[in-house]
Amino acid sequence: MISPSQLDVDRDKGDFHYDTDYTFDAGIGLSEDVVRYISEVKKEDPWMLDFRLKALSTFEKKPMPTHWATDDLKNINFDVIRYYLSKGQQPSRTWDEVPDDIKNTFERLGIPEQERKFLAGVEAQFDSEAAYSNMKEDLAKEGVIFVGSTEGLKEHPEIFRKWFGKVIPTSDNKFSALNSAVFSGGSFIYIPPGVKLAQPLQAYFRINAENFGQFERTLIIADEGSEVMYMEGCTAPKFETSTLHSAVVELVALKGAKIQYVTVQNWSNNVFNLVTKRAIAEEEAEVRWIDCNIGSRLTMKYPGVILKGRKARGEVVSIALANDGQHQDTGAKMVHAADETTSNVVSKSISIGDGRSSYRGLVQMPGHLKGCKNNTECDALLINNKSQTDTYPAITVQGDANSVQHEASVSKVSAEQIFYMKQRGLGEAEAMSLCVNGFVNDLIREFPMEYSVELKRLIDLEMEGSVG
Amino acid sequence: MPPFSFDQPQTFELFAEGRSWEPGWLADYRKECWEQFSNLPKRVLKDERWRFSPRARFGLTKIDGLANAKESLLIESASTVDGISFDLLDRLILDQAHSISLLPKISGPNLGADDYSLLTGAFAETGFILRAQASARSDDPVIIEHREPEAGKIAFHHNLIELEAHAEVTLIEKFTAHPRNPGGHISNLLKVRLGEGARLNRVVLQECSQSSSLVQMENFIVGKNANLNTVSLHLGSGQSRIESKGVLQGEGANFDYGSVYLGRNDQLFDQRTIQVHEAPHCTSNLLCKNVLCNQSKSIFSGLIKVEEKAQHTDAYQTNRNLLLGSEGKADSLPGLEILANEVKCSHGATTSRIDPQDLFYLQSRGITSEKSEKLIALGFLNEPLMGINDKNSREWAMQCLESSFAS
Repeated sequence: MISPSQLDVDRDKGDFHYDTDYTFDAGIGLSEDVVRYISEVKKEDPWMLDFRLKALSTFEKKPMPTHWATDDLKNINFDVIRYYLSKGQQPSRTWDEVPDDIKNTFERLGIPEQERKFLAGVEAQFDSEAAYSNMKEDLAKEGVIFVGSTEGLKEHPEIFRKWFGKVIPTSDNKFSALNSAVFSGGSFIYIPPGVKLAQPLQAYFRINAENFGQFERTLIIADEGSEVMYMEGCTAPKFETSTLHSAVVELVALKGAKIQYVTVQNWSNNVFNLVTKRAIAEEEAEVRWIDCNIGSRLTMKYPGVILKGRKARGEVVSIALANDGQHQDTGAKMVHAADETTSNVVSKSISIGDGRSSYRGLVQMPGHLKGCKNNTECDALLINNKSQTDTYPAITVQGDANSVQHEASVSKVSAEQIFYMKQRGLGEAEAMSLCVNGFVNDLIREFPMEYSVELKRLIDLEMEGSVG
Repeated sequence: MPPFSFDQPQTFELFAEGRSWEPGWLADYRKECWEQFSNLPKRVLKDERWRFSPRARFGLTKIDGLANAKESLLIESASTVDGISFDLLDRLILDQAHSISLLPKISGPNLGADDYSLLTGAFAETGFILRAQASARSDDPVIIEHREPEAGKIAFHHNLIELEAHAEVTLIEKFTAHPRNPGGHISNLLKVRLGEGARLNRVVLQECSQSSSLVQMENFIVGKNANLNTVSLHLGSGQSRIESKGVLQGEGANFDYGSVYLGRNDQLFDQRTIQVHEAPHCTSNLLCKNVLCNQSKSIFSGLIKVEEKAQHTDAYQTNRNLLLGSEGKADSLPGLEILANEVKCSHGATTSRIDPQDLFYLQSRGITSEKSEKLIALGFLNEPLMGINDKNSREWAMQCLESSFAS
């Protein structure tokens, strides 16, 4: 178990100030009233309220998964969390109160002035209204629906209700149940048959409407033959005062559709980031999760693909970086449920200082299937002698018509490599950074251009002070 | 008299009464084990250490009595070398109790079968004790036979191997089927401690009946520069749970572990291993190969744990499963927990069938498909056996494997 780092942020400085507008305050702690309140504020249909209440009782019944997960989960106090904050209740804080190290990071990553204030929590809203509405217009012409979760359920129930909560049932795990009870925010996306979006959809452009929730709910449906790339998060550290984030992301790729879901997250060191992500891939569909996890106190995230149709393909590409006081517990799940399905998992993790990164995987191939293949590679890099890495895959294969391979390795940056670069005039830290960037380079290339540039800079930043 | 059951306190009381002649410390140890067993939680719903395992197949409830200890463990070949003693627990308890004083001090592997481990501590009347004094060396292997008891009975064996500095011994352990009334249970707990520079070569051949149950628990503690080479060949038993722990306690220690499982009918092999690196500059290498025919099932769960001070570790773990037939099933849980950074560590797990091209190659040379399959499977399983240090036992193990394919 990793103890939270103390060098983080002085919480007192960024204290909450709430408006006295009680109509929007769900209060602190979780109860049936809170759930009813959220549903009421959102003016939801009765079936939605039932769904939320059932989820709440499931959440209360489910035990913490500490029989396999870290005991750090026991440190979450569900009674001090604010489960719903709507517009106007955002914490207000002045720019001067933002810690210097966060400001410096913004500077070095080259984040635009306007965005910095949003990311630091100084402004509740990031003004991208113009960009969003332009994009919305273009998308609407193609029949693409790109809205918030509340809006999606209200305005397009015929599309979203069919799949909502079907990929990840409420009772999947304790945190998916929690999300189902109190979710707000997140995106609902529908891509009509045959539409291939050239530009990636970015959650970023929509977050002005409702601030990135702690309990986001995202559902993407790609109809037959369509293609979409969705991006969430950003490389800049999000300065957060709420300590629990528990999102649920469901993807549905119908026949021949392609979905790429890109996440880059850099939470501050006090955040528990417990996310359930899963996709269903129908016949010949392809789902790729491209994931980069940096920051947070504990991240638990295992994107999965249920390969339901013949020749469906699933892929998880993930980079995790655990620095002091952080535990990145990430992985992948591949459930093969049709013939000739293939899956590929490539995971690279870096542990710095006393950081800990874990890979947890699951691959299932029942005996009645033929021609299924899985390949899993996990590589871990340890930078300091206090760093830790673990690998816990679980592979189940039945029958003689499928094949699976799993490989994992652990290494450190070799003294020889560092020596070689130092000889050519690079400083030790620079050399180390270069090695680490080289280690993840082939995966970083999978990210969209602007992300990959920022990611490289971010890794340089994280590496600082870790050598010598 | 009520039916035999490990749920009844009388079961232990009666047993202890019959052994009142034993030294006090041993009686205390038995009692302590029994009490711990009685206090075990009756039903743990989600135990990671039993993940994927149909645990009910190892039920203690199917047991109706203790086996005759004298018949269940036999020395086939003792040592003639000075300084090496190879004897049975029941013969040592009275006269040479000091030679078994280490038994309570070393724990079992504790990889899940706590119930069997504690019951063995409480009820074991026999077990082999292999001890070698410093620099004692034997070229001929010592051989022990664990004999499956008759149906419904359980044999508890509590064994100890203690090699002092630079001693070298080769041990062959055979598990054989009951000739007339198969279906017995064996619970075998082995504790091994190797002193500085000691070397143990161990080969296990398990040919229990297909209706028997085996729970095998091994804890190997390897000292400075010591060398442990153990290879197990599991051909029999209906269900077997094998727990092996290798602790690299002294600098420069080496642990080589190989295992072969050949599953037929509805055999179950449930294997849990852990390689614990406590000291720097140690190496460990684990290779587990399974061939699964019919409805047989294997579970491999392995962990390499490298502790913070165990820098310069080389640790490997490989699990390869070959499925012959559409109903075999292989679960694989290869794990790593690394806390030191100056390490070379890797694990690999693969599950597949025979490459149709290999099969075609052999068939095109006039070998029937059935025979080709056997040849390929035999070649596949030979790899761990190649790791047996002692040449004679290696050849013997290979012959045993080959003849098992002939049947």
